Amino acid sequence: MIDEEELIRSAQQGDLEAFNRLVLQYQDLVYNQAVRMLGEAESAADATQDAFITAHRSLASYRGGSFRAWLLRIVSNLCYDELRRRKRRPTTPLEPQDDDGEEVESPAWIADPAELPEDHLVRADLGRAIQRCLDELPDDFRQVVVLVDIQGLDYTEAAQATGKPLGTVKSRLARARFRLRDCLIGFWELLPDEFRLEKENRS
Amino acid sequence: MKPRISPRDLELLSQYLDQQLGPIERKRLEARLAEEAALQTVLEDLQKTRLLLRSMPRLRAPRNFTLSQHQLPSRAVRRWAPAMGFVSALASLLLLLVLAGDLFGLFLPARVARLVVPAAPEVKSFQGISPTGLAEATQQAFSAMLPKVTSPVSQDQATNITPTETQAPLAAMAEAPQAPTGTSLPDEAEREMKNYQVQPGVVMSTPGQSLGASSQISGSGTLTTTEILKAQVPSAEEALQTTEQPVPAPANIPPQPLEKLEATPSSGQEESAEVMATPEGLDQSQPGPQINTSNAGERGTSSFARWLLWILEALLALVALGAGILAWVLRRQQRR
Repeated sequence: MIDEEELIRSAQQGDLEAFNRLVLQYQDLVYNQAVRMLGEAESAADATQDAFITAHRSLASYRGGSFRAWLLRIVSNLCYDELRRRKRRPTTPLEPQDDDGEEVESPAWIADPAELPEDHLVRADLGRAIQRCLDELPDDFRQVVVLVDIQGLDYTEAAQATGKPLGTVKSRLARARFRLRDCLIGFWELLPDEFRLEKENRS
Repeated sequence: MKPRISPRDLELLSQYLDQQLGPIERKRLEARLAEEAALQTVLEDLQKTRLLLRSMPRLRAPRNFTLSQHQLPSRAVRRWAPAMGFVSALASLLLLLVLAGDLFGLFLPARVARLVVPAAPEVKSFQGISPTGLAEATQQAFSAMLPKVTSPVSQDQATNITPTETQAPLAAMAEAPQAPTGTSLPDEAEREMKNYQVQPGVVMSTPGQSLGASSQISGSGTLTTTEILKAQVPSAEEALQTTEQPVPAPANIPPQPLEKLEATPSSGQEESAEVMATPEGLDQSQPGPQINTSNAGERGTSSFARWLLWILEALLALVALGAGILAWVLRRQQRR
């Protein structure tokens, strides 16, 4: 099996096939980062494609280090561009409505016990709840918490992917987790059994 | 109830979860956790949050994002897009320069030369020069200027002009404009000279006297039209002001220059006053074919230069716009 460094070197010399093998290796990672940052699949797919095109164009500027952190930095920057574009031209998201036809702004609508007949539905709803909470975070906090807690990067890689000092990454991660905890505290009912049991024991 | 916690403790707890604390900090925090229930509660909540995030399903990419050759920008695009951008910027800069030059008349020498011509009779009118000398000298100056700029005016032509009694003071003024003027000038004419801030160039531009004055200055005995032009050009703006606009009445001289000249019995001065009163007065006073031809030629040259300028400006604008659009299209293709 050809190792990653050799693929990168070949891609830098213009070997498109080598680059595409790197794409296949990292496309899930890049796509997940885009989805968690943008909260929407279609824009995330566009950002992912753009990220690989940008990566191919910028291969000469890659000077070693974590290749996945380098890719995640590219896709994160593209996501920031998209988020800025959205802020300039805001669109109305499709919010759930209550019985009176009013939009439900709080994500607590997911916590309706009637919507939890099966475990997979619970997990799906929990995933949507978490995504809602992620969406409410400031962009910088969301980027760090997705990199570390969802993508599994260590602090050093996260610092490389964000282009920020290690101390900034630690601080942002701690505050992002604390805000998410505040947001998710209304969804303890949706937590897997082990968490619910812990909560009941504590109360 | 939501426990309160300092940002520093929050960071410590977060790093503790990720096992990023050193042994000393970790032991210190564990000791605090054993004593402080609120700290322990926050730690548990952060742990759950982290577990929740980690439990999120890992999504699969909806399709393969591998690149094909047509998705990559061609070498031509990579090479020409910045080049076109540079060309566009350069053409825009040149267009701005040409427009600025056109605005300030830097590229219209013919216009400047045309403006210089009426200056001659205006200054002469203060000197009381005989009209015959003026006519001859003017014709000689123009005939020398128009066909060949480099053709010298012979010493004979210059010295044929009869010097007047005001020539010496004018030559002195030409050499030392700051020095007091000679006393042989009439008082009012002298004051007029001061009011108009007559400089050596203006004095020499007087056709009847300029040849004599300039030949005195140079001492070479020959006078080229280049010298005449050099002497005339600095006074172009003053000539424009004094010939095309009404002469302002100086505060210390009640009578207008024109009135004074009209009151003078000399017929030559009356003729000069007419020349001064109308910008085309030179044609009226000197109806010779040479002068008419030269004016028409200058006008033709001026309009030709203006056409050239317009064509140049239009070309530059086209290049700037075209190259800019091309660079934009190329970059757009590159993004796709």
